[in-house]
Amino acid sequence: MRVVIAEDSGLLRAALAGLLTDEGCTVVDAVGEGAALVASVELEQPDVCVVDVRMPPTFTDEGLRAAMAIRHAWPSVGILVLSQYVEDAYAGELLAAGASGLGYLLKDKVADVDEFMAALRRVASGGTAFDPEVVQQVVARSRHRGRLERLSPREREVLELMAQGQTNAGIARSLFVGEGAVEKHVSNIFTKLDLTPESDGHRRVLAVLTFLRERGRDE
Amino acid sequence: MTLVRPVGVQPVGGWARRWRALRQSGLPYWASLGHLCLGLVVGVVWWPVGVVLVAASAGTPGPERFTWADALARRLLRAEMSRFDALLGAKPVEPRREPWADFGDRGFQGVVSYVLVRPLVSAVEALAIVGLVALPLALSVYVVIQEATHYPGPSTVLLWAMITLGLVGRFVIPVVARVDVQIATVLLDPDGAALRQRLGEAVEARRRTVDAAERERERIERDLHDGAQQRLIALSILLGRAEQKLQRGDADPAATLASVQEAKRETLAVIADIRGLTQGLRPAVLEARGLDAALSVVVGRLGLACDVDVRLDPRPGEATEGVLYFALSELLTNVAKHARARSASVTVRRDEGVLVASVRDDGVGGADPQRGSGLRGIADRLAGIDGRLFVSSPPGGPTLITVEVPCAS
Repeated sequence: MRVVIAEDSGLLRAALAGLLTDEGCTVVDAVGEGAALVASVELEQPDVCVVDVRMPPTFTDEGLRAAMAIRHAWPSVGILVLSQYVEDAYAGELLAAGASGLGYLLKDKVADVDEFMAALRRVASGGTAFDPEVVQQVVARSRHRGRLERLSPREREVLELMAQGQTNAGIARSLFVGEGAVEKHVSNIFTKLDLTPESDGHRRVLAVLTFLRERGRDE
Repeated sequence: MTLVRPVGVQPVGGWARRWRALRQSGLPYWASLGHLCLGLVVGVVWWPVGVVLVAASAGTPGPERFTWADALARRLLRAEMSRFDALLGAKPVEPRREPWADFGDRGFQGVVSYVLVRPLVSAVEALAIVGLVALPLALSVYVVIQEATHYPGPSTVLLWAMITLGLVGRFVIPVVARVDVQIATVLLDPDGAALRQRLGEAVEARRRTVDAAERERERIERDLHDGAQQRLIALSILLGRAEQKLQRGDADPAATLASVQEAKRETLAVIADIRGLTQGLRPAVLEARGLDAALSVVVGRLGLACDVDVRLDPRPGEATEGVLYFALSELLTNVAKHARARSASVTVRRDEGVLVASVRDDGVGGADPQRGSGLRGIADRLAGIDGRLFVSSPPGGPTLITVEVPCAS
């Protein structure tokens, strides 16, 4: 898997490069700011890029804006955005660009190498990876509390894992159940929340997160 | 050691601020011009009334005499304030409803002195009007007529000079009107004016303190985010990789040892980062042992050959001590970074309700509050506790920077 890293801290850039190389990826380039990232993606056409939200010159959302530019120009390149904080606004902007091949993780998650690599591979192959923190915040702030209360605790867990972008197989592994059980939960969830069921994959994430982030409706 | 305050040195930030405030308080040009012209006329007309009021207070006046004098003065005041309000939209003072106490009342005397002084002030203002408006206008018209009728006359140069003067007048006349309002305020309400000035300064100082506090918070956030937190994340990734290798069973003991050692080094570096941050903010030793001990630590850490002489007994309040510590440790850091000094000294004394601290060094001098915001930042922080900063740093040195902070205790 060919990866481009965009991270302004030299320390973290080296740490990420080392990690990815350990895990068998090829780090084709490592840059420190948004413009350089876009140029590098244009040249190298990697499978996925790992991008820090905050970069020079303003240290606000350069990474996010570069990600949007890349998404627009080369939709097949996966983008995994890393951030030190969860910003619901950024998650929203990423969602607005569709959820395919997009991810948003806290930098804390990188140390959990298995999870991080699973998320990276999902994003590289067109799936989605949203940090559990982001999902928890979105669920907690959702206006659809009434409808969410119809779900059983297990179904809540499955909902959150779906919102993170996990496939049915991934959910089954996380909860130590069979895939069949997961499929049943998923179908119940869509029924109870009055949503049109979507198959596995990024469209499902989009549907779930869009539902959860809806404003101004409902009980 | 005797205490020296640099002579003839203005406190940092004073005059520039006042000039800016004056420039920004713009009044409309034509209204200003009208007001000043009217002022001269009114001043001359009212002046005899002022003389009458003074005469009325001569000898041993009875209460009936004061009653009509008071009524006259108040009517005059109301008329004048209406004049100010009509053209400039601002009254120096509010017209008074209740009578004043007697001839000795400061308010009454204020009105009298205003009326007597008015024509003089307006005469001076008239000079500005003549010089910057009437004269340029008249001469310009004259020159234009000359050119038009081809009679020999003053050259075009004079015409341009007059036009320029007229343009200058456009900016200066409103300022003159503003000064006129200030003079009226000072005469008519001497106590109020002083209070208002003090209030203005206090509001300004508070704004600067809040700004300084906000900037400080930003700096802390940045230092923590960019420094300690980044290191900790890199550390976590390092440990994650070592964990992976050990779990998969393909860890080579030498490499694992190297990882663990690097992890320990990074951890110690984070500890040092955070220690540096908290020391800069508020070291524990300041609370426990006071300025002397805390500043000695700073001097030691900077590696300066510096005497520390603090005689403060009893210790000032926490806030004062904290700001003083911040100011002095910043100044000492500047000495270490920029002064190239062989030796330095810090002295802190109490001098009748004022804490005076000075930092002296025999280095290259050239410390300038205008260049770089370090000294300005210190002055702002001091302003929050009514403190001031004095800088004497000729190029070539030596440098003497003095901090004065009022201290009631």
